[in-house]
Amino acid sequence: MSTSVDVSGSEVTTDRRLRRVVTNQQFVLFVVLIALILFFASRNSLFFRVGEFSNLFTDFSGLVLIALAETYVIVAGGIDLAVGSTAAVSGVVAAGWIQPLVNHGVNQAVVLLVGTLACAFIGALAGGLSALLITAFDLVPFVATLVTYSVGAGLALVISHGAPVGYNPGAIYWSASGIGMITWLVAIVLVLAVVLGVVLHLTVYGRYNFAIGSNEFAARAAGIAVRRHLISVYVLAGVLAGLTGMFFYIRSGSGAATTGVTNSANLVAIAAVVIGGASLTGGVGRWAGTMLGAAVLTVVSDGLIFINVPPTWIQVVVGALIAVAALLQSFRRRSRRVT
Amino acid sequence: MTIADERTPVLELRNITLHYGSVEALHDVSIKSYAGEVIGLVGDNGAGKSSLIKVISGVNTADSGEVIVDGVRRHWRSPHDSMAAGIETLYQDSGLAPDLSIGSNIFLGREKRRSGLLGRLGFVDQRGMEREALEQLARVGITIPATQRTVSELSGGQRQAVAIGRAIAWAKHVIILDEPTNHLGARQSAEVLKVIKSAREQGLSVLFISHSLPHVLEVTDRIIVLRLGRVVRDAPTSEFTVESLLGTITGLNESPS
Amino acid sequence: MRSHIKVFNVDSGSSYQRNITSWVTGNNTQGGKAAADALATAMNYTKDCTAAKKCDVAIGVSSLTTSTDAARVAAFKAEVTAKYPNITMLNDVVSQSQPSVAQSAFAQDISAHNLAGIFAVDGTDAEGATAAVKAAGSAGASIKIVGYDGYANNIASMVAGGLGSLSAIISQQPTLEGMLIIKYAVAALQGKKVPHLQTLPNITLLPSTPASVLAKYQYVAS
Repeated sequence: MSTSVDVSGSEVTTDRRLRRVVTNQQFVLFVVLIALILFFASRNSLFFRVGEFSNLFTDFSGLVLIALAETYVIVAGGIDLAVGSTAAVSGVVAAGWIQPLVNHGVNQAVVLLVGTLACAFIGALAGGLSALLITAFDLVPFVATLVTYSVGAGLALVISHGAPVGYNPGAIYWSASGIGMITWLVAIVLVLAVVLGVVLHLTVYGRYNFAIGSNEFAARAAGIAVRRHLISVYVLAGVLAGLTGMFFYIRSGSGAATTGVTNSANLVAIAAVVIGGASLTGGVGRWAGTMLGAAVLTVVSDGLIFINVPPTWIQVVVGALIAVAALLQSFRRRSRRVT
Repeated sequence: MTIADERTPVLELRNITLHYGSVEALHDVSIKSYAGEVIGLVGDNGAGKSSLIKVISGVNTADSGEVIVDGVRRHWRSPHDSMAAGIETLYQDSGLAPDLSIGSNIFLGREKRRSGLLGRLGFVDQRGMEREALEQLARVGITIPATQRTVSELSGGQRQAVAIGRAIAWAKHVIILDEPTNHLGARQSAEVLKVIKSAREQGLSVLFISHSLPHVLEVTDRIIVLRLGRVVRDAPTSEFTVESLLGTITGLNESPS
Repeated sequence: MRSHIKVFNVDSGSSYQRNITSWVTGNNTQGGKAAADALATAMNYTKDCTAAKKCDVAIGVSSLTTSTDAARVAAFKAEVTAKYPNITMLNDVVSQSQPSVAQSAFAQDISAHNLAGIFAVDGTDAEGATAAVKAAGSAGASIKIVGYDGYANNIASMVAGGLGSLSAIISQQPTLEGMLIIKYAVAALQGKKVPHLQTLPNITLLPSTPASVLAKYQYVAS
């Protein structure tokens, strides 16, 4: 070949490499996470107890599945406002379905397995509704999932009459059993979280997710079935939200219509993704970032209660945290453009 | 280059008509393109250039008419079908996913999988893709030291080179380039034109869409002029000058030469 | 322009309360005090809480802006400050009407403090408190919970006993409240004078309360 076009950039120097590490969102988050743990422990050394780490892991597990759901959706260029209310409606419906089994003294493992499948199914229906509105009716994801959010939150109240559904103390005892600081419930959630990370970053499915969010037109032109992929992503997010509903059922021994709704779990999950370094315009996001973002949010909100900070301040601190993460990201983007 | 009629065209469109609602975008368009030939597709905005390439690449389906590739009549259900048939399309400014690496972009939609069980589970062979991407780009005359960087880190000219390299690397029969020199400086444009010539040397049929008439005159063998959805002129490039081509595009000289 | 529609209110109030014709509600001040007394009794205050070894108590509310919650907590705190100086009250836990949020927060309080008691101001906080104590296992064995409102799950938890069960429930008289407000509404529409505000005392339900009485105070979901 006689012609040659050079696409090489400048040399990657040691100095630049160091700067890359220091401005790397995951690295910064990791440092922040360690600093937070040390800070709370310095205020109350009981923070280092196995029991407290068990609490942290449990609360992390209640957030991480919907945060990863949100990661998939946001990386694909969308947003899902429905995850909180999907957890609520799945929890109350499944709680109602499995209560007869509880009353008849059926083995708890069977009860919880049936409940889990039921929650996944209801979550898939909710995700399917969002997907239908987006792909068939061309609604923007924000509006489509707002519809699903409203429908889910409303149905959860209608079905539960506003009262807790089901009464299953056995589930609570099971939720607390495990080895050391890791309960079985947490272990299952963490395994699922790792699988989601592997799929996102190492498989063709994950690659398509990034490609669609980065440039939907290019993805379509490259022969990727964009519509089918987007449907699957919203259904996946719904299933993960449903499983989160089951998680809270197991933890509390009952389903509540307010679960994930009154605390705006959808926004907390989105915050975890944004803190993790994802871009709301799509195409950018890391599993490790979301995991660390969710961990930081969990440690902050639990730690502030732990050191007895008035509840009114906790939201303010979380807000400040999101602002810092966003600023860091914009700084990083600017510095990359300069180099 | 002279065109012998007995040769089979690699791409032939017969009597293509396309409507968007009540608007007629293409009317009875017929063209032929041969291996090792660069065809310039020119026309004013709204002349039907984009519509025509969308029909060829399978983004849109014509209301009537035939698409024939290598002598076989084809029907595209999606862009994937046309790609499988050896037609690569590079769309204006949007051929790449900026947040993916160069290697991932070269293999977009054709991801290399790992061997064995992992591959069947959908695991991608990232290292293999980066390595092969390097080779594929080198084959069409584009050298890159690191394919792991994201496309967003490249300049406009570099992106275009990667995009064209990607199209040429995969194309078996036809490569469609939509405004590949748009927004590029003189030096970068010259490099793109070189890559187009190397595609011709490899025996590909190139459809080159551009507003830049000097570029069209420099690199093409034949020029097809579209106006209001119809082919108004289809002649060897040697028959045109910038002025006569402009006149044909705008319709100011209906019967030139 | 003022509307001529008469408004009758039961339970929680609002900032427009003075435009309301009649308001029947539980006496939250009396309820908050009763809760403090019930919790101190359950915790065995006189014996277990001393100036040297104070008892920590967590308070769970649904929202800091709900009038009923605020009134109950204020009365509870006033009563504790006045009568039980050896109790340390932690900052409020805000459940946002969500059992799981209350549960997470109470789990923090159990982990960080030597928690002896929880005052759960409403049903969701009681639900969260019982779950948190159950999940804490041995760490929660000595924690007493006093709940508010006779939700079915609250009463079931109290009757079942054991780890994380409620030691007492302060209950409003919802049936009586409802009957009274309808009586007042009819009277007001007939032009008779009705009380602007009628508060009813709360009842303290205990594990020893007969089932027939518990059934009377249990809230019924519509």
